[in-house]
Amino acid sequence: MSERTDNRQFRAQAGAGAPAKAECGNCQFFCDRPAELEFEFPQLRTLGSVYGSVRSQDGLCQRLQRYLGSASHCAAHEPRAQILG
Amino acid sequence: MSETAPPPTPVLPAPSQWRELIGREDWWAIWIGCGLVLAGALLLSGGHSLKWLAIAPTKWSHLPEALAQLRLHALQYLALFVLWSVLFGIGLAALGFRVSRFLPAFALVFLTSLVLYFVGQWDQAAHYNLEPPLVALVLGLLVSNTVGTPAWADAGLRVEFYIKTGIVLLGASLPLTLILWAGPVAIVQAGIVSLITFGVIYFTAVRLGLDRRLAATLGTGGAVCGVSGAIATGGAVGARKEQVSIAISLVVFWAIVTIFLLPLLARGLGLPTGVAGAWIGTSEFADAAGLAAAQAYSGYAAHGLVAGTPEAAVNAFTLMKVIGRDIWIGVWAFVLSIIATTRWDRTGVNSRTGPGEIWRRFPKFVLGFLLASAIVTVLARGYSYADYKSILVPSLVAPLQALRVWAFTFAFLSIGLTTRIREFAQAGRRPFYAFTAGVAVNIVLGFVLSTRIFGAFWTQFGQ
Repeated sequence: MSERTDNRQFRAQAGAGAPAKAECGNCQFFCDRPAELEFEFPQLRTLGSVYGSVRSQDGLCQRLQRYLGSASHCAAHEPRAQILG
Repeated sequence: MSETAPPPTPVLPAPSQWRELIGREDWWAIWIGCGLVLAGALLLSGGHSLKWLAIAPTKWSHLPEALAQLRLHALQYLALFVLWSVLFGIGLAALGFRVSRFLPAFALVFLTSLVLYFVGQWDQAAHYNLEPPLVALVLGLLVSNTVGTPAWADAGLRVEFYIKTGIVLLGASLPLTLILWAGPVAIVQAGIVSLITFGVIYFTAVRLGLDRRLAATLGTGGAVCGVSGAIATGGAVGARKEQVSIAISLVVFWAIVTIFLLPLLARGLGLPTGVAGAWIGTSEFADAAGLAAAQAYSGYAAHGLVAGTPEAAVNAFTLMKVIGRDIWIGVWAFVLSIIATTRWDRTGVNSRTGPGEIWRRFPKFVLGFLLASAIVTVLARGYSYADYKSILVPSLVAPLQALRVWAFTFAFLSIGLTTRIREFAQAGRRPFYAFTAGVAVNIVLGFVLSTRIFGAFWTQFGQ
């Protein structure tokens, strides 16, 4: 994927088709929702923004507690329940 | 890749590249900023102007004069509030905020900014150091760290959205020819400082035994573009959550300190506006913080306290920080992600990256800044110099400058209102020492480059 979608878009767009890649962007532990990221990094909004382009589609892995790109992947990947339907 | 194959899941349809155009505040800053520039140009072509709407307080000596001004222009201030509410409200709604939460918060921000703007126009303001950016910041800090900023105000305190919109509007008062003339110098100067500052922070941090991912996140936070640099690099290298938090805290701490320190030092050293703006642009850590410092210095020039044109401090700062430093963040993140993947300790997470990351992380609002500059530059070509001064400046450029000052004031107030001083303590000593070493080198090197190596250039720029 040349462009990553965020969680909401992923859920909204998930439909019938070929398997999605096992990437952080599709993992249930990955949080890239801006409001939640602002909550996790409360000082970020003082002189930065999670709504800006520089963040790209990075998010927080709530399992590993790492801040990662959505195209990252690891052995602990678990697809989102919503996607499995 | 996971060791066991994940169950089949539906594939994403090809994601829309267009979605970003309404899903990121950078693009909304462009739509709002360039939309205002185009609206101003259209009004001008019909013999009208944005002047009525872009109202701003003028000089006053006694309080009754200020109140009379306010009464006389009350309808214009109300219209301006409605304009900003609609523009920012639409943008924030598209970003997922509730307009019902934004409006009361923004009303508070607007009213406080109005008072601060009036205070700044008092003829004794300079005597008491009441420069609006600094007063806004101090007031916000006091509220935030004493009674506390109410949670409901959160939707109206969007520092980066306001500052990006202001920077796009700033493009309208900077001719493209000037950007092309000074841009390369800014890139060279900022490039030297960025590389050295990153090196100092990174190697000091590693020497102090800190993890390389934290060292890199701290390094780009100090050397490139502050909090944006820290989160871009943090994501690119897969930093731990607390490492990103530490970098953000240190950037915010030193950015707030240097908002007050740099204008004070520059004024004490008698630096002209162009030189001071270049120094602030080289040595400040964040756009919003640097613009607060540069605009405060512009205020000193407007009151005749320092040499050079008032606008030069903000213009030189913007060229140095935005063109010289900000636009390279994608390159830094891309290079560091490759180094992290190939050279540093394994974390159990594998990242895929490619050159496309450079564009994805590019601060798109810079395109709006350049576009606004191009629009006004092309318009100006149809005017003689005399007509440019007598028609285009008062009818288009000056109203856009007034709107920009409003946007910046909203941002400066929001910085203070979102800063919690007690949260700085979480950074820890070793990261603090590493980052502070970079701050010291950055400030000294920025001073030498701005006053000695490129001093003549920035002095000329400020005239």
